[in-house]
Amino acid sequence: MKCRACAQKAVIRLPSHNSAFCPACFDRFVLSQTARAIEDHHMLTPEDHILVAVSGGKDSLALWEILSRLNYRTTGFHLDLGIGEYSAESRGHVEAFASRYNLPLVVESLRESVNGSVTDIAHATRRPACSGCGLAKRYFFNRAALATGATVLATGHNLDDEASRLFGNLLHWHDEYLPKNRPDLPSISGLSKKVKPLVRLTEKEMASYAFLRKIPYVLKECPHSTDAKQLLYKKLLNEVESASPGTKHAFLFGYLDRVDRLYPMTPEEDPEDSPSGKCERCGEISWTPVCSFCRMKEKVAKDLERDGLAPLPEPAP
Amino acid sequence: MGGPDRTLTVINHQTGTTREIRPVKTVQALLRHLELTPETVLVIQGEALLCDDDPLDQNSPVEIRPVISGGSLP
Repeated sequence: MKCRACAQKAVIRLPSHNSAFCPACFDRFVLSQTARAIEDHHMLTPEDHILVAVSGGKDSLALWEILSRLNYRTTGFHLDLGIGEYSAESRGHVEAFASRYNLPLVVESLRESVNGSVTDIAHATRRPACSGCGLAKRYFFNRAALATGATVLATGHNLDDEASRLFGNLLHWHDEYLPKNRPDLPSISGLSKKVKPLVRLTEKEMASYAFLRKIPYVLKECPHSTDAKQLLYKKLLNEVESASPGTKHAFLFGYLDRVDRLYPMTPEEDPEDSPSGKCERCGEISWTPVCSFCRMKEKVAKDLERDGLAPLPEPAP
Repeated sequence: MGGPDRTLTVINHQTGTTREIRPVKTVQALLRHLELTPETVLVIQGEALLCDDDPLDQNSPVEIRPVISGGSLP
């Protein structure tokens, strides 16, 4: 198969674009798709300082590299989840990447902050591990953005992430989540703006990009994410995509074309959507007198104290 | 192509396994054999990323790398 742009040997076929590219033309394709997402959704300006949330996976590390190549000012932020080998490997990739490209990086430890593991959080809150993990990430990301003076927080969510999230929200009619199912969320009450510049690119495209750019990343999945619903939704959407190329893109971008009309963004006008003040415990911006993260932290402490237990070890990957 | 006893080594990062299979000529045939869709994996041989219709070198191990990530326990 030949590259549709230059007739060299292709290394990736993109049926949804009726195209195939060689490494050099695919590289240009990825950069242009990212630049287009940034422009179409008014995500970034040249003056922005961007905090890039990096997990150690292909998407976030590739995003950090792409934003640097596009000459944006970036700082990486990694939250060490303390999940055994999986977290050690993830953190290793992030630190090696920052060192290789000489980029500033901030690392924090969830385990040290909560004084318990992700498993302890799940046990104490009676919620899936990923629920507490997500809450903690939002807390740390917002806090790190404020601490570093970043104007925007960027995450590596790709087209598959966003399409599968929309699919899940529609299957269960989670109307309350739909307004936030978009790649650009404005700054509210001092919390930084949030953007997803990889929204036009698929998982396959991002994995190919990371491979071709020789970006090492963690291949292991988080041990808590096995048998996840989102993985099922991705699988189903990929089956539809195989039979009808371009469907994932049409599904997500058809929604994004309508989202402003369906859910106009006026967060400051809605007091329920804006944080009311500062958390009494940690001093961070909060919707309630004690923020969700501090309430979760207190539940973990009480749970461990009641059971007289030491923090639980994490499951093996 | 190899003789009747030749096998192709497949390192599958998705399952964490390495196995020997009956040689197949192309990436497409390999993915069919493994019951995988092209959208969900990278197929790598040596240092090269391969397209669906690329031929496989029967003397070199093939690496299957998953591309799908994320999600939470229900």
